[in-house]
Amino acid sequence: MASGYRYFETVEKHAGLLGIGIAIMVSLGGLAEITPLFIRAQQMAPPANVKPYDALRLAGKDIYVREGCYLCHSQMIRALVAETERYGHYSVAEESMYDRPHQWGSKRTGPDLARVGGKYSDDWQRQHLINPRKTELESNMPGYPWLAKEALDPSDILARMRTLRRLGDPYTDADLAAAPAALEGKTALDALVAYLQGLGTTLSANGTLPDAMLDPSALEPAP
Amino acid sequence: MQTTETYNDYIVRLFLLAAAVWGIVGMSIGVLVAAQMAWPALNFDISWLTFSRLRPNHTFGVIFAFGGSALMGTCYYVVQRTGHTRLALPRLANFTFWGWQLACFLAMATMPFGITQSKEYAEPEWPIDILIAVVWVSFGAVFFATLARRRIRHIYVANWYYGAFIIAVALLHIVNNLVLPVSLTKSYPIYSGVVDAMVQWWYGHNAVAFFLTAGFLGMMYYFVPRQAEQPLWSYRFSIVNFWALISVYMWAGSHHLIYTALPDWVQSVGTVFSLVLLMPSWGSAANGLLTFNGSWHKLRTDPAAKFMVISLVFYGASTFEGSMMAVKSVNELSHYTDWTIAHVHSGSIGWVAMITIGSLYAMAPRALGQPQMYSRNGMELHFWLHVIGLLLYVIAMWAAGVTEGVMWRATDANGALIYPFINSLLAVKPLYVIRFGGGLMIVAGMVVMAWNLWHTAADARKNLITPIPVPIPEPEAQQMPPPLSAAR
Amino acid sequence: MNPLWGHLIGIITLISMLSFIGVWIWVWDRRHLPKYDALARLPLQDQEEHA
Repeated sequence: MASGYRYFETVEKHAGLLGIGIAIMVSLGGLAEITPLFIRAQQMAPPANVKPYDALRLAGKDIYVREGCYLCHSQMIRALVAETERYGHYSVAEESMYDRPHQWGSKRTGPDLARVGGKYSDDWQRQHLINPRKTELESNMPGYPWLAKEALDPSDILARMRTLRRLGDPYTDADLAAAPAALEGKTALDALVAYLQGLGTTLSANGTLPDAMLDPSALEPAP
Repeated sequence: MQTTETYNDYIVRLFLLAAAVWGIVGMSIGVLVAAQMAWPALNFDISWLTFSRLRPNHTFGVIFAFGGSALMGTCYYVVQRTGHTRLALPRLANFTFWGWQLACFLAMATMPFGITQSKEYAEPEWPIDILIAVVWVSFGAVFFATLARRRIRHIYVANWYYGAFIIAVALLHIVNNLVLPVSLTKSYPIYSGVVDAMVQWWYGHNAVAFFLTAGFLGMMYYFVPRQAEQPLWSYRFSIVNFWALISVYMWAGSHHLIYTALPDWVQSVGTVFSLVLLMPSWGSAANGLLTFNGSWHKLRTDPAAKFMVISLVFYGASTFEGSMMAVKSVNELSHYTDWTIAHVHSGSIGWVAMITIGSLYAMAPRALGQPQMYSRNGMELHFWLHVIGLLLYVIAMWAAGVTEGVMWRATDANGALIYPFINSLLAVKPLYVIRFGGGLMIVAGMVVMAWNLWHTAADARKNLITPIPVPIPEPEAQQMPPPLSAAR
Repeated sequence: MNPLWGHLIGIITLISMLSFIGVWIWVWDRRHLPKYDALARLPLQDQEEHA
């Protein structure tokens, strides 16, 4: 029987070995799936027309993140005909490469926002954010009236952009120098509207789409 | 051999109390946000009462404050009794209690005010994340130190699950929360875009796997045999299921990102592993249910056993549903809809909450020095409130999810979309009202449980509890490693 | 993606598969049965002492 205590059974009797066994088994999946993505993201040269958020839009994006908009709105148009019909071209990875954290979302209580930029006027967006039922009678979206009264802090944006630069986002010294002025006199609502109006416009801004976006066979047909 | 050593049930009682309180808090917030979805006026235009600020409080409150307290309390209870030893490092154990409560309180007190990372299920900002990590490592230290001083050679399978839960959650929490702080209240993740999405759902999915599954399976593997008064149906089957479950789960996270900008091969790996996952999931459910063989009559007399049986049925059902939703053609319909919400809640209200409540009802009298719970009718009432509320909730959300999925992709003969988005919202609004009603019943049941626990704890409040002595097993021949000295 | 990565994942999957089958064979070995039966009764002790 003594020999039986070797091999697998030792795991059942030694808390430390059991722990190590568990640690190995739970690490494999994550390593296999995340590491190649991480390596690829490090190597990937950003497309020339994808720029990091300017100061006002960055402030707006951080408001979007703070308010938790991702809980009801996705920013990820799937490669399905029903989705591209409704929302526009399907989302590609490069479009969210400066999103920390990503805002792909997991639930659509409201519609997808990945390409909402330019679909409505600035004025519509303001009214809708302050009281959604002014523009859409049956909406169940909460109002965000406090955003209109909240002045942005121009000094804070510098700290944020510096942190992002440290993480690898290519902000230039000129970008940083111009940032506080861009926020002068603006409210949180101004910033959020600027952010929303920029959504999904990055890649087509100068009329070019990456090759993947031009391939119609990549689309999954509707069942 | 006689000993004066007793089990440390004081810490268990503290966690029991915390679980009851956080359960009511977290679920009440859930009812409020459910009401806000049906009646948006309930946001009151107040920032910290707004749906999008409060929903993380519901998920964090229920998963980490309620579930976490219940898991840590039962873990301390089980590891002592299956190792025939008193809890090691008692001061550190007390710290895990107060530290965890502080972390939960801080998280719940900051998130509504916009201090959030907005990473789903990992919202608290970095100072709270550090506190959580410190408490978690201490929890692991107490658990493994207690295992190290056990007097039973083999580590009982429930402890394997608790061990996997502790190790994996530490790994997930730390990797997912790597950020660069801007200030005390704002930080940016080191990952962005597609990598952040993958890390997030590797975390999100495995928080379900190791927090909401492995931990609660640990609970199940101890309390189900005890309540059924039957030995575990197949101990060796539980070993196979354990290794299969913990190694397969970690691969399945990418099924949350099907048809997105995530590379195709990662999506496919996620789908395949999600299907494989059905095997160990059903294996565990079957093992628990078959343990009741010969004790089915207990369902007539013992409400705790009823909670456990229904929880195992829902565990089997929701893991099947989960694997199916990872299939591309199903996911195409179900993703982004309320079907996801139905799935999550059949898992959390059905499986997680019910196995927890069953275990609490099984553990509480013993830990509180009573022969049984104060009111059996109270337990019965809780059971029916919970089950009816659960059915109302998930059936309403299933119906809503399928409605949304079908309406979003409905096209006419020319291939044009038929419904504007708002139409799908109008179609499901009545179902949101039903869901609110179901949630209300579940909270009512929790209040009944708290009342019942309060009365059961009458002696504990007066310090009248006799500590439970630790049994000393007969030393076995050929013990490897050698038995720990009985006189300590 | 580097094609080597696919091979690596394949090998990991294979090893996991083999160890899975190995665990299965190991635990179904008859000589462990008495021990597993004793372990399966462990949760009942708390109840018995209490009764």
